Amino acid sequence: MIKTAKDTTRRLLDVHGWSGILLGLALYVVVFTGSIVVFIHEIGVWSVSGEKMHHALALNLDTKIEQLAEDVPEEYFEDVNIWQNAAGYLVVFFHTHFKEETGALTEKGVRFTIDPTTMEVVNRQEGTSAELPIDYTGYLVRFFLDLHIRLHAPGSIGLYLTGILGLVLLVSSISGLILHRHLIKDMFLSPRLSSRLLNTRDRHNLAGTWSILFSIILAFTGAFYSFALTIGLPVIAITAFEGDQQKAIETVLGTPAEPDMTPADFIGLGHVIDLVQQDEAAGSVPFFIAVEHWGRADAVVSTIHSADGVSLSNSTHQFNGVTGEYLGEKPALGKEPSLGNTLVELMGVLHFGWFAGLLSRVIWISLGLATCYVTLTGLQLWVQRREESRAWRQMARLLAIVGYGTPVAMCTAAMGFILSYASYPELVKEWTIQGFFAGVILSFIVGLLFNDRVKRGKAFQWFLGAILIILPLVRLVSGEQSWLQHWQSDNAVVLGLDISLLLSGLISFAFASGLVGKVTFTKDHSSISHRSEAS
Amino acid sequence: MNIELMTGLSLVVSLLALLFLRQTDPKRRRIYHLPKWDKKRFSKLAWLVSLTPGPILLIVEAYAPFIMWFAAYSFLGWVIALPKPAAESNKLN
Repeated sequence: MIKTAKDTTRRLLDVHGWSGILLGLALYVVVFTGSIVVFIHEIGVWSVSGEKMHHALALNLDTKIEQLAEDVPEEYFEDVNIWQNAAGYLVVFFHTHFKEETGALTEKGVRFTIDPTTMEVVNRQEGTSAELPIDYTGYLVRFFLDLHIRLHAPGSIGLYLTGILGLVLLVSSISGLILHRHLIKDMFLSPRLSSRLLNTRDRHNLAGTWSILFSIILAFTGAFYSFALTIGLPVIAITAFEGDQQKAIETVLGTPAEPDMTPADFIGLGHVIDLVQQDEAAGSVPFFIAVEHWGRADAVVSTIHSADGVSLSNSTHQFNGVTGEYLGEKPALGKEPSLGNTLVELMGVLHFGWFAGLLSRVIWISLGLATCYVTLTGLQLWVQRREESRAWRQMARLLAIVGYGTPVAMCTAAMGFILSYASYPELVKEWTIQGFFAGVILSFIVGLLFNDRVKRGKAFQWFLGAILIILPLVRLVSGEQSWLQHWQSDNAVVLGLDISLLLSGLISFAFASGLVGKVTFTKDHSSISHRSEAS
Repeated sequence: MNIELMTGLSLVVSLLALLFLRQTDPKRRRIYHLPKWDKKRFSKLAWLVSLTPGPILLIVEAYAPFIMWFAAYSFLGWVIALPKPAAESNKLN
């Protein structure tokens, strides 16, 4: 219990409440999408009804890449990146870097997409990063990530916005910690049923108490990722490097080695992949390969590997591109292991939750949804205390629209993607965006149709349940394989996500029908004092 | 021992201790009109037991299980505290 003066408590309560009410809905959208993107790789595979092949980078790709190189201008040998897209196709991108008129560094080159089962080139595209068409297979993933990272706002504005929302969550968590006078005493207090208001307060306090530490971690790491490049690096450059951003970047990431343009035979990816799979190196197949200066004496191969629980972060291993010598593991920051690098890696571990497979992801999505619950119940509490006012009743309506509308719109965006990917892949961007807005509009219609709070809540639960059940059926009809075939072809992730969506829909129906979550209060409304709300 | 098993065992230990703390919690029992817990509560010991897996995992350098246990602990606590005592819930309804 933290003792504070009465005036301080009131001011803290104002900060806690108003910061929440002004930005709480946007914060909810960011946290909810963040919880979902914990499973972004699985969503990517599911959205295209399964991968063509797992670990295609373990195949012997040298002959194919040499063939492709014959069709590529030599200037694009500066960097060759190889990865698998969401559908499992191999993507090989020969490219160079140049500065645009605006001063921004961009890439230009030739991008091949290859079917890993036949090694046939599916397409060849050439141009700058802006000119190259989007990768259809990963558009839903990109849409969800952009929604979480920048709320689809242009440029740095989105990052500033989500960074500010991270700070709002941090302020709300810390002020909530100070405001909650009986933090320890109430840790096992199940929400009381005496009145709706008291029940909401108990639900908010209970979830807030238990998740407070995690909320602070999420908020801090999220704000760090938003502000690190937009504000952090320029500030460091100004203060420590007299405004020289290039020098700052080189200090942080390491100075590039002296170039050696002498032509030299490339050692071959097969050799590198064999070496990196040994326990002395990464011990696994990479998900991304980058070859710097392909065909030159200073060629370096970097392989990037997923975290596997032993290694908590993605790891990068480097090899000499001519001799094949293992150069060791490269830290994310600098060239040598450092405390700064460890701290940055730890931020990633704590924010993303990708470090130990399915279990860590399940824990992180649960905690993310718990934070959403705290945000929504906090907003509910604020508007319930003021529902005598018409304006605040409209706020309660908006709360329901955004609360249920966010998952609805994400599902309809996914439907738009799936339907267009199956029939008109070149239109995935338009259909995904239109699908999202269709979900938003439908949510507003449902929200505006019902004035009664209880009926509105039930209507949304039926609606969300229906959308969650329809989505996997749409995917099943659009995909080429049955559930059994997915299971047999090692694409159980597709089956798993379909079942998760169906179950979520049924749970929503159970709430809507009153089968679960039915609560009867001894009185529907009671006023609790401002002071008691703070406790 | 693999990562999932270590995390699972740690969470089971914490779960049992937290369940004991919930069942003996005086405010919860008072609010829901449950009989007072007459026996000794050992609350400090129970909190200690519930938190013990953390340092143990750190000592054996099981960092991934530690982070998962640390994160899941708060979710576990919330899930345990949330349900109403069955008998009293019926009475109120």
